[in-house]
Amino acid sequence: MPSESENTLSTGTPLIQRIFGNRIGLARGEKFVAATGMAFVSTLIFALVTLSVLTTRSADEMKTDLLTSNAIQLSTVLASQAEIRINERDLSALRRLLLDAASAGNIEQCSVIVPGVGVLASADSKETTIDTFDDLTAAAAPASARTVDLLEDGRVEINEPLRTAESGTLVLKLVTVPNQAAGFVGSIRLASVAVGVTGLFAMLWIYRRFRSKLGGISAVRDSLIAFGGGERRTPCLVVSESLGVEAAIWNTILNEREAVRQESMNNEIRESILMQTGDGIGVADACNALTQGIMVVDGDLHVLYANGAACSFLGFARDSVVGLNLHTTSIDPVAIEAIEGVASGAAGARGNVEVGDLGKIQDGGTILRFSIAQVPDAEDTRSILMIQDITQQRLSDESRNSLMAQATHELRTPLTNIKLYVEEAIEAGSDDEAIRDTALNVINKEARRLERVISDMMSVSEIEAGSLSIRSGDLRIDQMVDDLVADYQPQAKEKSIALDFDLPPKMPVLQGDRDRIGQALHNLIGNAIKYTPEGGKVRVGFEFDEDDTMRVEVSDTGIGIDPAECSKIFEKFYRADDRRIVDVTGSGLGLALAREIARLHGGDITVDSAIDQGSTFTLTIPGTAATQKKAA
Amino acid sequence: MRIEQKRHGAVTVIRPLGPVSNKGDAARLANEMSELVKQTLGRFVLDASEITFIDSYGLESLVDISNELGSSGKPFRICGVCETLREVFAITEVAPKFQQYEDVQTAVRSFL
Repeated sequence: MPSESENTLSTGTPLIQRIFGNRIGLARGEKFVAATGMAFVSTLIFALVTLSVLTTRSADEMKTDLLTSNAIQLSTVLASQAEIRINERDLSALRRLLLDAASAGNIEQCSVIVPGVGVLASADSKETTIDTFDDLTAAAAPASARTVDLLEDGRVEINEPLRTAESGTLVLKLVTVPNQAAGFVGSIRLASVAVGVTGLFAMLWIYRRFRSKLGGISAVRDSLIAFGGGERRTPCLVVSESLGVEAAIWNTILNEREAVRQESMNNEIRESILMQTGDGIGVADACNALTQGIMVVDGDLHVLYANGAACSFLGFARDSVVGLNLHTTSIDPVAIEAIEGVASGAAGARGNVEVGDLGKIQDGGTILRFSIAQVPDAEDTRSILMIQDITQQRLSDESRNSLMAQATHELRTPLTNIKLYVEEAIEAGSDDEAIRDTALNVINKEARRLERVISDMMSVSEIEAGSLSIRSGDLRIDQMVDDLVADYQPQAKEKSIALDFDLPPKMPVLQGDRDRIGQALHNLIGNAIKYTPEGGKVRVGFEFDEDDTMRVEVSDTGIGIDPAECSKIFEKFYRADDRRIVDVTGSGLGLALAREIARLHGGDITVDSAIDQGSTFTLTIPGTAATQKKAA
Repeated sequence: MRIEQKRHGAVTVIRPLGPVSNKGDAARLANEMSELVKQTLGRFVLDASEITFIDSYGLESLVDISNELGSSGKPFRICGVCETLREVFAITEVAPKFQQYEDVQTAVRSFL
């Protein structure tokens, strides 16, 4: 496995070390770029120096060759001319010739020498040592071949033998000016340095561009090499995002890999928990199919596992629930305390707690029951929680308890009256028939009231249990009206209320449950008489449309209902908060039952009322024709 | 299509009135049911007694809700399914995805 230094290249290559020293730390990706850049620069400098040396050497040789060649040509021409002057024995002409030749350029020394005697003629008159041809001797050195010598300072010396008829062998000596190629070579070298410096700056610029373009790729390469060397830690593999888009993408890949790895670890944790009970048989899927929530937490209340229902109940995201600390969630503190108690053993190995507010159910509240138990034989302290939504059960319990309380009250009132009047009738015996008749009437009335209360309660109980049903059959409205008149006319008369039944001339036979519809009408008419003061009016109007739909309007001149209460009066046990009805007995079940019956027949009950303006309840029961039309 | 909601204790009954026969109706029904899933933790029943027909969009919305509930172990309760719908469910083989009840009361009692 590579060390950190290999990843960051803080030691670097020897070349980079020599240049930058150990103080500079190159980030991953700089190594390749820096090394490549240095290689480019080194190559460039080497090429420039080599080129410079070769060029100068070549230029020097070319210049020397050219100078020698020119000197030889000049020497040849000058020798032939000098031979003519010498043969003519015109010494002055010879000296002018040499002077002209020297002044023509590139000739430093030009003279005719008598070998072993002296100088006959020269461009520089001071060098002349022989004044006339007469001074020449026959003992002159014999003539030899032309010699060309390259002097150290770059001058060329040519000794050209002259052949004369009378003067013996003479030598024309030419010495050229120093080779001027040195200045040219210097210029070339200077130009090479300028090109080198320019190239260096160009390389630096290219390096920067190169770095921005390839730095990312290089960094990724280094990271891959580290990965190949066994490095798996994401923080050690990430690269600087300043190196470009490739580096950023590489980091994204690493981060996604890390997320997948984390998810895989989470899955392994989950599976390891379930493995103990046989994950191979699909326990995880089975747990997710449960309507009860299941959760496993450790001693610090970190979630180790939660099935789908648990996440749903507690509002957790399923993909991030593992590792979540329950202390940081919105779970009711009461539940947290209970879980902690079981987890620590302070509250025993098992516990139950219910959280939620029954009063908030209408606003969407929920009651959850947590059953908590320690997991035995676990390596560390773990607890398993079973979570159930018991909202509907609690509401049902509440409703049943309320029904029982109300039933007790409703049954006790008429029973008390019956008991009192029975005792009074017994005391009166056969002596006072008036008292006995009154007592019997009251007993009869209270018994019927008791019967209705029990009937209503039974019906409400059936509604609660979902078993309230109708037994449909022929419904003769005229017979039902006769019964209603017989039942309620005496009560209306007792309160001096005018009870009118408004009936059409002909009433059809409907399909429906006679007892249930009668029960609904009993409740509507009974309420109208109950809440209408003495001297008032109650009207019961029957209407039938062409498809036999029955519409019964029960209107009164009673105390009326606040419109804000109208939607609530059909709820079970609901009684309006009105001090005018404090003394009026009622179970609060009649209207709820009447509407349920109407709806079971496919109809409904509506109310239109205002305080002190009376009320109108409208019961609608669809006829057979309407029902058939709807079904079609 | 109108959609009614009614509370039966802690259970909400959602009742579409009319056929679910276009994309808009299906989306509205799906939205209302999805809201109920969140608000009631799945304590709701679809009363299909007034749904006389359902098209593919509507069917898809029912399956989506069923899957959403199923992911947390809750069944999708439907009641009052007419014969036409029952046939549609059978032909499209989605019937096993729903927990069907005869009427609202039975469906509501299943929460006890």
